[in-house]
Amino acid sequence: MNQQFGIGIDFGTTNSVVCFYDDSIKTSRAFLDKGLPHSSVIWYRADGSKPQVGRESRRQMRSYSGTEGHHFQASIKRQLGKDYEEFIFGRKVKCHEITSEIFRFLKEDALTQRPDLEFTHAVVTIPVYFDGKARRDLRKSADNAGIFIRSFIHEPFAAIVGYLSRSKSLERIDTLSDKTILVFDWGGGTLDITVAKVLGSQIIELAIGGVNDRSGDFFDEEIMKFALSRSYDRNGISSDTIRIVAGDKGRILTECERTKIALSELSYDKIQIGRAYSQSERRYDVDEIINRSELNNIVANEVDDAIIQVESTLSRAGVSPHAIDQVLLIGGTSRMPYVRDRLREMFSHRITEIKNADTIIAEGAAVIDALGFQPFFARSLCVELADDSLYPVFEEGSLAVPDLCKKTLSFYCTDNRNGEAKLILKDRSNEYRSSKPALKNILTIPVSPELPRPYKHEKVSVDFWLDSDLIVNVKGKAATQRVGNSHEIYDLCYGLRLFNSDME
Amino acid sequence: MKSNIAIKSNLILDHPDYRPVHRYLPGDLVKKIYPEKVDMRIIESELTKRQIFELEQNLICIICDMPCAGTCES
Repeated sequence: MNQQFGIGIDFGTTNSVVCFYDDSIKTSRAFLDKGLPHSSVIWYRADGSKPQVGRESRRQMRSYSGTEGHHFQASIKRQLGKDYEEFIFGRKVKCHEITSEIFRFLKEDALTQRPDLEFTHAVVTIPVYFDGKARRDLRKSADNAGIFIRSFIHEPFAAIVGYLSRSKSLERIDTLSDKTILVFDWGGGTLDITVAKVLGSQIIELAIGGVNDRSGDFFDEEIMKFALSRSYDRNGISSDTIRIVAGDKGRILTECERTKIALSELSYDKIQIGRAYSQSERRYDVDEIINRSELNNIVANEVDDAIIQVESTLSRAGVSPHAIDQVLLIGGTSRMPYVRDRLREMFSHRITEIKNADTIIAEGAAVIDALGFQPFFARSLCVELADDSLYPVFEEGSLAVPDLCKKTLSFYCTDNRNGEAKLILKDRSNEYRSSKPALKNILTIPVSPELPRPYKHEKVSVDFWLDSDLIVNVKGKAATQRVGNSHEIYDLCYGLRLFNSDME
Repeated sequence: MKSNIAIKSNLILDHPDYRPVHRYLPGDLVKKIYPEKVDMRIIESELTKRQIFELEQNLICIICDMPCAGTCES
């Protein structure tokens, strides 16, 4: 029987990586394609052959996108949790079915590279603002591919573990105590920021932040608009009369992405796409030169917003930029010279260049799985009471174990005149008082607006439980009402206690 | 967008540490449902300072006939 192993999966918008932790040599190994991560592009063909995933699919997208008999699906991760469906050769395919193809490919590739191993489960990394629906879609996708997700972990957090593991610092984590690390992970789909602190043998997320949909893919679209507008001007045609079919758009975006990457090294590059768009039956090529300063102008607003996100995450963590000891830059968009320059203005020499940054997140996930690091609540999740005090539901430091973390609390509504009880949920840290309590949600629970005589305080019962997707579910109902209200809290900070004894 | 409007919780735990419940009610609501507790002779022992303040904010002004919290004088 083959050895049973867990894997770490970094399922990315642009690229995906699988790693496993080889305990015999205390190192994570990534399953790569000629030293590069697998592309998250899926290539469907009309002949019914098995969908293909990976770098070959991305290469073929450049040639065949928009051609009959070929369907390419890129950046599918962005659609998770949005009830997205795609028509592929006349068949409606759900988002999680499409993403399953990537998981299936990743598993098969890992098994091809290591046929002596059997991969039974995984720790899968997620962006910090991946909500409950997106996580459930992701779990379904992995399930379809025969991968059981043991746990999710935030991508930047996994990156820290991966980085410490690779630099052999995990074994002597105590020596890093009190170090504060900022992870800036800007990829194709999301910007994820985490401020974390090493405390003894623990790593704790002090604050998380970020944005969706203003990342690498968005930049590609902006570059495309820039190149097309120049091309229209050159050909003296109006953009209103132009027609670009979906397949051609895919080709243009692929070329724009290539140019964007090239401009990290070069001072200028050419965007060349044959027969990119049409106007009254005539097809036009795009052949435009773009230089780095033009690219900087295109992305300037989004980079400014990213810097604001960093500042607000630091503020929520109660940490000044000077208190950050190390900045880890992860993700393709972070490689853009303009992004690096802006971060260097803030953190100067503390920015760490990570070799093979593409695999660091999956490496961290593999370490977390192999060494059984169990996340704990880094901040107490509290209910604000009518006297403004905070009552902890799940205490800071307590293990975040699904099914075990559950509680039912009973409240009296102190003012029912508006017909609603306001359950205000905040998280706070006693350990780091400099980080202020943060509002997580206000759940309004219907109550009776009547003031009966004699007066009876309205009772409200609220259930809290942590599910296997690391989401705290909150469900409240008043005793006099038939319906209540519920909410999912997914943007919580976690910590990891590193079991040093296992590392020796 | 920043706002000065603070949303206040209207829940208190059903627990002996949080009794009597009427001490967590807004002052004006206490007056409505427990009028006997706002009697000037016992109000300071029955209500918290905050409730008394809230109650005063909601008293009908004899000058403007509104709950003006003293602002009409200026």
